[in-house]
Amino acid sequence: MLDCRQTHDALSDSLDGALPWWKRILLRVHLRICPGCARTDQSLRKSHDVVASLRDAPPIIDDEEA
Amino acid sequence: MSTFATMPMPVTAPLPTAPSPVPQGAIIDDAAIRQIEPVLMGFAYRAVRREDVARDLVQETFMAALEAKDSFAGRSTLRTWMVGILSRKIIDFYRRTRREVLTDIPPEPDPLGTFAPATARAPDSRLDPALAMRVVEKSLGKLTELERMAVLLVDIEQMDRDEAGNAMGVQSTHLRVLLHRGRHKLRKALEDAGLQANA
Repeated sequence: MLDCRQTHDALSDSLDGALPWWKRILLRVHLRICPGCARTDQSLRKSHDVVASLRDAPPIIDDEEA
Repeated sequence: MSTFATMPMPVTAPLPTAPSPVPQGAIIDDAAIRQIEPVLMGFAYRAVRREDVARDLVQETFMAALEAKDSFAGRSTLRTWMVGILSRKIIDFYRRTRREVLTDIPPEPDPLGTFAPATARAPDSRLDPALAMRVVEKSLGKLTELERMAVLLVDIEQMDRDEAGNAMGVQSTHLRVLLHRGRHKLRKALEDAGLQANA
């Protein structure tokens, strides 16, 4: 079984399809039984989608940074 | 707040001027330059957060690409190839400015505490997409330079980890940690923004 910290570490790898099959299964099992990690997974995937959406968007120049 | 789309963009001479060193029919022609320059400018700005530096790096990238055009074998897209060249320029810039010690020693996992037990509330489910993009854009600037480069290459440019590691000159184990940290920091920033927006 994976604990919450191991799950947390595996979530980023799962975005890249970089987990071995057995770890994918352990991750899936943990996410089904742990609502906290399931929310973290959902949140990470959502932020990943937002980041990916920047691909063809011009950068927003923050006046404080520029 | 503004975007490159609304800003006057000086011509990135000397590329379009004088007799072009690119033979007719070459892959780096004027059309390709017009198409890819905004992409490279966007990438460079997100990486270095300074428009003047970004512009210089993009010009250097075009010069390097023209010199090395024969090495472009078409195994990747022109965009990926040129982003790879630009990435090396950016890493060189980081090294010159020494704002971050660049080593290839994998850092300790999660020393910055990106592991955060989930909160009781769904974080950002109602966050406006435009606001989410602004939050991420701003939060990218708060990542370390290498975390930012890792996220830009893998999550925005969609390079695989090996390509990204090569472009950055880091080993895959290091890249994995940089990605892990950068992604979770962005996630937390969006969660915080979502909680504020939904408060």
